[in-house]
Amino acid sequence: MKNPFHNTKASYYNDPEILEFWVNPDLTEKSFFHTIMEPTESMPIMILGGKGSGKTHILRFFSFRSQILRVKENKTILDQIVDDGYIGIYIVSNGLQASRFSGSMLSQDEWNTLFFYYINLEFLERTCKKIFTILNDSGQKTIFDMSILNDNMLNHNLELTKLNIEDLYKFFKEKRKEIDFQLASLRLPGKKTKLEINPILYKIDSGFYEIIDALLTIIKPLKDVKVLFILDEYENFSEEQQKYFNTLLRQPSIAPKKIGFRISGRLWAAKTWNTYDDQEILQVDSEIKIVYLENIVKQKFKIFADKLYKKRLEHILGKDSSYINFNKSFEVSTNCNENVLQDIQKKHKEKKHFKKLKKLLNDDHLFADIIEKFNCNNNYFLEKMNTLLLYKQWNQNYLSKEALLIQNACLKSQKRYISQLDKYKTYVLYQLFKDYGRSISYSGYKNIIDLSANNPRIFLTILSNIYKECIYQNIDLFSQDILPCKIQDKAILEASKWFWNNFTEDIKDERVEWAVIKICELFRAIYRSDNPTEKDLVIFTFDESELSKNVKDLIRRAIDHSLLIDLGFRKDRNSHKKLTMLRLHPMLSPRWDLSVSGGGTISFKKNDMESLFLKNEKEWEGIEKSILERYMIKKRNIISPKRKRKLVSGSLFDNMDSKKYTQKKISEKFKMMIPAGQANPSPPVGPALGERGVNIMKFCKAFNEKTKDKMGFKIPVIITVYTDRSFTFEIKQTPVNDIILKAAERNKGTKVGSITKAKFSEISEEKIKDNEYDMNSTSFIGDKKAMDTNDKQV
Amino acid sequence: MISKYDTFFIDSSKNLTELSKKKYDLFISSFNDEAMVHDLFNSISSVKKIWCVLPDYTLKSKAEIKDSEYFELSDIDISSDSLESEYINEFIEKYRLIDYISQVICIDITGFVKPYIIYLVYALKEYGFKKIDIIYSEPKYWEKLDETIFSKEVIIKTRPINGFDIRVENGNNDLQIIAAGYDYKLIRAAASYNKLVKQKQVLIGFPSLQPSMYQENILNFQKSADELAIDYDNFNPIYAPANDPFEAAKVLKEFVDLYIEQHDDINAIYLSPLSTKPHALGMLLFFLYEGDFYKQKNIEIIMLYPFTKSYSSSAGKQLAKINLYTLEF
Repeated sequence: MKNPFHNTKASYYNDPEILEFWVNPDLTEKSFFHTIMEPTESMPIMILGGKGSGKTHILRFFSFRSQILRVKENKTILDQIVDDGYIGIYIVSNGLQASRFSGSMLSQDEWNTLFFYYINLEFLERTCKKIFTILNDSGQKTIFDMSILNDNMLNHNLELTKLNIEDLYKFFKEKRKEIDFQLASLRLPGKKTKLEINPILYKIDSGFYEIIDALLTIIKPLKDVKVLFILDEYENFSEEQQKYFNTLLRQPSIAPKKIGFRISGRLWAAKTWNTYDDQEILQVDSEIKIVYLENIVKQKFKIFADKLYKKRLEHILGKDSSYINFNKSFEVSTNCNENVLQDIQKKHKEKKHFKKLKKLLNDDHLFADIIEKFNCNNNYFLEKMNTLLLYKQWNQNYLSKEALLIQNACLKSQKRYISQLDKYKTYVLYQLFKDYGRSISYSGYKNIIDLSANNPRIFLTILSNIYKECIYQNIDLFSQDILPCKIQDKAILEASKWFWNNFTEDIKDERVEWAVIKICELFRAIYRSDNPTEKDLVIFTFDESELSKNVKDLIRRAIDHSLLIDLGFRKDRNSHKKLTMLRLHPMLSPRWDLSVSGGGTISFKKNDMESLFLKNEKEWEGIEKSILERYMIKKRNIISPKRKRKLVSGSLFDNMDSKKYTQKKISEKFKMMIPAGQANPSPPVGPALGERGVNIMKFCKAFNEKTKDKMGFKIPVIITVYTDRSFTFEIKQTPVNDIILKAAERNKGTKVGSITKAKFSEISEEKIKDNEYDMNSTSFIGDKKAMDTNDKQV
Repeated sequence: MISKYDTFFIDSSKNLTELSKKKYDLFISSFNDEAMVHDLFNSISSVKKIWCVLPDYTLKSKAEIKDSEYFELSDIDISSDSLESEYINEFIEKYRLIDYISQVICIDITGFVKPYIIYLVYALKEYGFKKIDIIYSEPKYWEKLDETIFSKEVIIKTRPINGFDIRVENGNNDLQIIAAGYDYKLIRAAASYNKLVKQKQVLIGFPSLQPSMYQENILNFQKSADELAIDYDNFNPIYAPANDPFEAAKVLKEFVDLYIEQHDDINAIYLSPLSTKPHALGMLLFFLYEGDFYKQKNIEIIMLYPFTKSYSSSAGKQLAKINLYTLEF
């Protein structure tokens, strides 16, 4: 059986196939794509799209050849044309060989004039040919009195009073061919000649408007019909040539109602909006409407893709293909990653995912303690997840304690744990699979739709690859209940490589490819890092206003060639600057092991973007290294108690302190002494908190709860207030003086109390254990001296 | 049946000794970084020898050229649509090549970029040259095996080679034949040039210059299969020895004649010389010998080429064989 998805290009279809493979995502007879083409509207429309977005198929569907094929039984071409309201004249730029109109043999002005004249003849020739075909088919007369054409329009020797449309067509064709002949001879070896052309149009740059208007007026059956010029591959016209079209579109000298333009090309097709009218430019929106195909198709791509799939099957299998539930075979296999995970757990008893942890901990005893806590019924995924969460607490003093908290959160499926799981699951899977030499699966119908990013050619290419893989593996794609993940993944990876080769081939600047590769590599390195922070990283932001024009142009080129997708803008939380947001095309993900769907973003500075896009290799190497350092965990050393004191901070799963780690911007940090368990809104606590916008009652409640076992002491507390008025606080140790004084049991009113040596030692040991003091610290010695201690009395 | 292409003779030798016995009035070569091109230039016996320094190459060893006669067109724009004709026409004029019509001339095409070879030989034939010797040195291997990229950087534009700038209305069965080499990007660019040409055929060099090169060629070629809409179930390329222009012209003639017999509505046959230089020469010979015949049938032959910013000037490594082709018009 032939591969139903083999052809991914409309240019390989013949005319009947253009209709046969036409897919309309709407149920109405008028196609969804009519709303894009609006063939009877006067406003010129520019339809832009990436490679394979379906432009050619749409344009050819509206061409005259397709119109002819749509003629219903017992109807004529004329009926169809009148019904459609337009004659679609499809012109491909390379068919005109527009590149011939340049070179040192003539001046730019001479080339321009020649090109304008040539296009006029081309438009007239094609229009007359179509009109003749329409009239001839309907048995209508083709001879008309066209005396009107003599009126400052044509320089000719035709018999205008009895002019056959076919003769007029041949006349224009002959004149056009004269130019072709002379142009060809210009570059022949040794045959340098000057062009000898006697124009037949009085207005050589816009004569076609008037002549077509006159024709449609004289030929009554076509009086309400529009001639629609459909120009494909607009990017192949030079800037000078596009200036000419802009001039035409801006100032249709006559009868705009009778002539329409649809111009199509790649996203970068329009090289200029300038015209030949002094300094005037073609105004987008008011003089030409621009449609971005992928943006329009996005609304209905899923339905469109489903229908595209079914249509291809119908073509091969006949109408009976409707029984095939094609989604089913893909959907069943969306558990691929889970299956791989189980397979790993079954086959590998050695827990490779703990290897790095062991190395980084640098403490066998602690390592044994931690992995015992992380052993979640041998669920490697959760173990890896817990390891990643531990890395996030790497600077904590007591990793054993942190591991316990993580284990607890995991076992109780705490909300925060679940949210962390959701955030990091791609990284965890990616790293875990990598530990065991496996890869993440991209299979499943939904993924294929997402990977396609509203581009039908990508969608069909993936399916075509899957079909080919099935053939190699002797699997019948259409009777299979489950489509093995391996087959889907292999096909998707191949499609990803194809995407890169295909979509980069005409970028015309290797720096763009280099920059995109480097972004992919950086993101992949972050996926492999110990401490990734952003969810499913495929998006980055930057301040476009800071960049040089050159860099902006290169970024635009990456977008125009679909390597990057423009997601609009985002306001920076701190600076409130407008940041441009771009994401990597999903088809790059399988090749670089990245996620398909986007989540978090990474922000690039001006220098990062300049180094990337100007291919400053050395500088980028340094930037990449410094970015990656943020994501790496350093081998843990034995930390001195003094150092530990500095590192003390809250735990990820300590509910009270959890907000400490949301990386909010700090507004103020201050210290207070508050009696344990007795904080209340009255001074000094209330005013101190109130003036900083802190919720007083909330603080008091939390403080009292946390210090209730230290009643009787004044507790030092450091309160951190954030810009959003939220707060955290850190309880410090009760001052030694207070503890000793309390332990000395002074009599009321006296300054003297006693403390036993044993009690004193107990206090000091307790303090040392709590890391409040170093045994030899001057502060402790100072305390002792200040209290004038001796064996018995203070 | 013996065709005229069977009457041409290829004189091959494994070293320069045999070739140095030949005496020429004019020897033309393209300056590049390949040692075998330099060795030949230095050892060949010719009254006049000229290096052509093409604007397409970025050269490492340009200092060496100072002792020799060379032609350079410094102010030419590499992206000009009349690049090759401007360069070659200036060259022909400067060295009054017409004076050599009745003399013995030889062109070493090893270092040339294909459009220049095509335009130069086409021009010489148009000026009335009856006999030209062409030399092509076969390398033992390409610099980076199957990953060798001959055309550096990016494709500027695909367009007809000068002299073939003919506008032809599209026929439903117009044909494009691509001599497919290592550069899959060039194949993709050539194949997508005119979307109205639906029929594509591939000419593969077989036997290849060296046995491994066929595999390397196919490995690269498959990267352009989707652009050519090649269905491997029905993949039926034509083959010609990679070092034999006459055989290439012959298989083209046989294929095209059969194609024309089986199809109507053909207005143009597009040829894209993207494999070896002998194949490019073969495509040109096919045009020079058969062009008028097809013109009478209202079929134009057009040479299409994807022009790039620059070319690798030292891809070939170690001399395997030197081929001498004598063209007679």
